[in-house]
Amino acid sequence: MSFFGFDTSLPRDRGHPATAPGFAQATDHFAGLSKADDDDDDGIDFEDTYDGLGDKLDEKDDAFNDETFGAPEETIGKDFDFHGATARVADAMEEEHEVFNRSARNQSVARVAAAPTQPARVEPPTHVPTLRPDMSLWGSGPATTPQPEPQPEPTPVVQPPVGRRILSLEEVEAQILANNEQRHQSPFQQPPAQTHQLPPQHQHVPPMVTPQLHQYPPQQHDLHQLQSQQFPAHIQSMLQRNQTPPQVQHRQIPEQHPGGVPLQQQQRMQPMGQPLHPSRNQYGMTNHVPAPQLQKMTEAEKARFLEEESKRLKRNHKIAQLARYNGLMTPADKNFITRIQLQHLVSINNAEDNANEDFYYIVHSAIRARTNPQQPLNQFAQTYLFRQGARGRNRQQDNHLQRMEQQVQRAVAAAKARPKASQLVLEGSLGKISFSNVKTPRPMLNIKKSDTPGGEPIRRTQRSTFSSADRKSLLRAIENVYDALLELEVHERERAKLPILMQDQQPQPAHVEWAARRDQLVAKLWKETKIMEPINPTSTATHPFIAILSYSKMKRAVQRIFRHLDPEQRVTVLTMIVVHLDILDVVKHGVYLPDETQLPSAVREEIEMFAASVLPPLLGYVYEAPLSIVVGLLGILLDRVDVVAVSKTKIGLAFLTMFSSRAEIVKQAGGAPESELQQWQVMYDKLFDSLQGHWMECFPPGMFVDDVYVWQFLASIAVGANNAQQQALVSAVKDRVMENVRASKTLPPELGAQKNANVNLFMRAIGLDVELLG
Amino acid sequence: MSDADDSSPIQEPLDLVRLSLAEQVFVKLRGDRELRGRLHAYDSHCNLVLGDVEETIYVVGDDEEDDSIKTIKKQSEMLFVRGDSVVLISPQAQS
Amino acid sequence: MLFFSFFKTLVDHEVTVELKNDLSIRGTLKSVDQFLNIKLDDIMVLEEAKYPHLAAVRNVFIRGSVVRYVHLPSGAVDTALLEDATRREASNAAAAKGR
Repeated sequence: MSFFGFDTSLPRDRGHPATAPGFAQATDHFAGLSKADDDDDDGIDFEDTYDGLGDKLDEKDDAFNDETFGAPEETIGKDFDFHGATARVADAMEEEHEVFNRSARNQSVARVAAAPTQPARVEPPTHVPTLRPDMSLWGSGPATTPQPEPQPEPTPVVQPPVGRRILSLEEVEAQILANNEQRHQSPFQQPPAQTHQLPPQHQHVPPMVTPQLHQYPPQQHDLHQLQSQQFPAHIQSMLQRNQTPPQVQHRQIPEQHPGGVPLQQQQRMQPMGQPLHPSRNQYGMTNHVPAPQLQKMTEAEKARFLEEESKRLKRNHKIAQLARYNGLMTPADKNFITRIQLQHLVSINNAEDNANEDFYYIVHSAIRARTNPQQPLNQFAQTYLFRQGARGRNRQQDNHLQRMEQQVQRAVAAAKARPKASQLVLEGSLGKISFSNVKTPRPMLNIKKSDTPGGEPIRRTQRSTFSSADRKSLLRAIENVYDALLELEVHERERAKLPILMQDQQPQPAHVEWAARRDQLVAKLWKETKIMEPINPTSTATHPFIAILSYSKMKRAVQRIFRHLDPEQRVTVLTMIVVHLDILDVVKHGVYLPDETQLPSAVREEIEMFAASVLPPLLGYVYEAPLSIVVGLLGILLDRVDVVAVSKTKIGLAFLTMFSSRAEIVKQAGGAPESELQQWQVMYDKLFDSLQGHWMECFPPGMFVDDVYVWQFLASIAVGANNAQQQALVSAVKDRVMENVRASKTLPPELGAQKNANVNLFMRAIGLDVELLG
Repeated sequence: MSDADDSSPIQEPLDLVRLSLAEQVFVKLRGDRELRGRLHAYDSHCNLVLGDVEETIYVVGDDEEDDSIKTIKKQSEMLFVRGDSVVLISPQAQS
Repeated sequence: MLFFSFFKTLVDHEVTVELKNDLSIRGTLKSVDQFLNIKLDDIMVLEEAKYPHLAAVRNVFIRGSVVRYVHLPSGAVDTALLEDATRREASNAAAAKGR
């Protein structure tokens, strides 16, 4: 019955929602109390009074929905009239509680102070049933009760002066009483459960318990709370609602066992014939005053009680308001928010000592925080407290140190700034003669050396020759790349500190400055990678970029560098690599020697590093590239590179696969101009012819090796092959295919399936399948 | 060796150590110990962090008169080395 | 500050500290300071028979200067980040020297 869109599963089926602490705590109070009454002999045993109607209730399927809600043909809107419906139901609630009250009074139950119970009731107002005073307790009060105007006040604000509310409650109560007298004769044979408006999970307990707890319950107040829990905006309206005939509500709420008891109790009870005692005109509630004594209370005491109750109610109301939104956030949400707040705290207070001093720790914890959403908050708290502590403690030391540092810096700067007139230059007619200086030995020699002695690099403004063979200078170059990269990354991080730029805003000077600096740093980085060094075909020296790419650390850096490059620079990188494809260390050393079954481990590591760090960004670029670029690159490859040699390596094949698969995708997607498609076809055929007769050499030696990449390559080639080419392919590799299929049958299931899948890559590309081979 | 680039010329010996970051290095320590491993971090005190380290300890034969030298080898995944024990750091060219 | 920063990230990890007197102590790193003094909790000496001195000791404070090695779990170390941090430290040191 999700008329309201509520979860209609019974609580026992649903399980207890652990994320709603408020409800849980509240139920616990009552749970304990209810158990305490199990042994009370004076109480009514459930078996005695249960009329079995609850068992007969069929709640499995929504069987009576039509009956309950009317025929489905009518458009049942979800704009529910909370006010009216709950008004109807609330009446029934009150009756029941009245019944309970009467039964509770018959028992000798210790009077629980209403004050402590009130907060317990207030916080989860849901499960608290409306309790009404039993007017018979109060003897014969004033005969007349003020007949209020049943004007509903639809004010959602619940902070109006208590006096006003009290009066309206009083009015309402009087009406209820009047109605009750009429209603008590009417049959209460409807399923008793339906008289409850409470959410199912709390209904077992409260009806039994609350009457015992609250002898003189503030029934109107409960009603108020009850309504507030479900329909917070309509509290006031509830209190001042019209008296709608209560019979209508009876069919609404499913609840079985406790419902049976109050029902019977109600039947047994005498109708309440008396209006509220004036001393209880607020809620029909007093705390520690037994009923018969009430009449004997002096006026002063009554007034006192009224005051107390009004205060209590105010407080309860406030608590109810606060608790209205309990359970909205899960602990995970709270955790998340707290984490963010702590991070802010840490970052705000530590604006100074950012990456400069504590780089590793800061970045490391940032990375860990990003990947560990559930990370305990202790770490942030720790960091924050640590920083605070450190700053306080070391401030004095740091001051001294800083002052000293500053003085030293000033001295150094002064020394530098002093003109270096320590060189005495004598100028004569024959030329300049300058005396040497310890600090500047070289400039004294005015002879320009045109030839460089034996490969040793000399200082030049242009580094046209790069001694690539020198390991030290290669490493230096790599470190320079890293320096530039780190500077750039730090600068990127500073972007977050800029004022946020809204979409239509003009870029502010700070942003412009930042962008300018960023471009400067990117240019520096680009220069350091040495990619733009001209390719000298006559020189035997490797191109500097390719040379430094042979180091693992440079491969790892490529991935990070790529992020900062623009598309033109990216294609330049790709082109440079393609041009030198057969010179790459991973390709050069990736060819198996005749007797080798496995490459040396160092080479394998480099290949893995290349595949993991360099290929992905290149792949990403190629998969977005237009066909013309792919055609161009493949053309360059075929022109300048030994394709056959390249095809014997994993990395080489990876490049070929990259190009052919991208081309095929573009072809199949359509939309490529005819000229480009033709160009591609030319390239393809050229590639095919170059590799024809060498297909089997693509495979690594040995049987149980990882040859997935070869099958992927063959598949990408086969897709674009015409019939003749496909036949050539098949005849070349068919032996290997058969071997694999046979092996897959004898191998353990996982490996066998793997091998099958590999071969199928190729087979499906031709339009065949491994299954056909049997 | 002249410095051919403007970005960060080699000024001090530790700059040479910088070149060997992430490379295999050979470290000689006080107390007849040697380390071979991949250099991940260093500072001006020569504190080091090495990965995949093999430590070699040279022990002189105690009782015998002859100078028999035994070596004890130990391995470690990741090792912090305090700088005050370091005697020299050298790159180890890989194959 | 590099290694101080580095050790801070290793708090609550189990490490083994080898001292210059050849004593090896395994324990949970609880605290470190700028001098790389180390506090370990729940320690265990590696060759207990040889070094019974610390049998009754749970937690120790180790002066940084007596440490020879600290054996670390490789999983707790981000080597790429470490290398970058080292590069930064080296560059900053060079810059601070007023080059």
